[in-house]
Amino acid sequence: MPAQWELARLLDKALRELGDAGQTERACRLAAQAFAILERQDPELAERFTGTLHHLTCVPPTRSPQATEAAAQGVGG
Amino acid sequence: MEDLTFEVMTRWSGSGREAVGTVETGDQVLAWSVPSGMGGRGEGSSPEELLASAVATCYTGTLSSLLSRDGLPWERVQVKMHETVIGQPTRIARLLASPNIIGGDPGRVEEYQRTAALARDHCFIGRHLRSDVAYEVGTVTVEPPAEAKGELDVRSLPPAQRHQLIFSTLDQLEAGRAVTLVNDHDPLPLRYQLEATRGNAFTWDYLEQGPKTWKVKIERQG
Repeated sequence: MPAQWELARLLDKALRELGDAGQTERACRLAAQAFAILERQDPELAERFTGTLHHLTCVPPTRSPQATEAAAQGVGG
Repeated sequence: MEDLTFEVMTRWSGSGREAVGTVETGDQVLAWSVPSGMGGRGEGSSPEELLASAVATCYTGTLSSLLSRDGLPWERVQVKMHETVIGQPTRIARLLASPNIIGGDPGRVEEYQRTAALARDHCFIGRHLRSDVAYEVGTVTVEPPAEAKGELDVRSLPPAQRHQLIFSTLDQLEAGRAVTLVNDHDPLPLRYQLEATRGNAFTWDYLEQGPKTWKVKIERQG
């Protein structure tokens, strides 16, 4: 796995733990910044942080199996 | 057309009106009981609702076909079928269909009303109602397409396509103009992303906050 994907995975994990520790607002802003950095250069990787944001804002999974699977992969509306 | 046959299976156990049964149609199993107003459990559906559903589904399909035939624009059709049961003796006295045309042309509402009345006459299932059942069409409401209302409804899109469409739409928005985002969950992640990528370029106002639908007015600052 490329290094940037490993780093993104680590950052995603750290942000989720930050949220779990009660710093949800801070974690959301950092996840959004990560998304902003990657949006143009690596849109696919940027979507990972869309998933992070959905986790942090406690959005329940969408009902359809495809949507649930997509959400698990870090994409969503 | 060759003769067609249809079959449903109903099940009922217990005695009197205090039981709950099922009806199986295709791969669907629906619970039903006697309505509470008739001394039953009032759980699941009821024969009264199932009859109204049969007429409503046929009417809806007929109406959508006739709308297309008559060249009237539409995206979705919703029909509320209101049934009135009277006694004694108990009988269905009235079925009132109230169609709602979504994505239509409100300027042609009289044409929609005429087509809606015609759909009642062509409704195959409705023709089997006894003559003492008043089968009527109420007022037709016509809503313009979502785009005309300035709405961006992403609920039917796969999640992966939603943000791309939203960002693209917002980026094309002129200063002082707004779009209403319609989503099936709180689009709060998008708000964080907008602020991180576009700064304070947009304002964000919730118009509806669940539980099934979220609407947010997003306006580009002047």
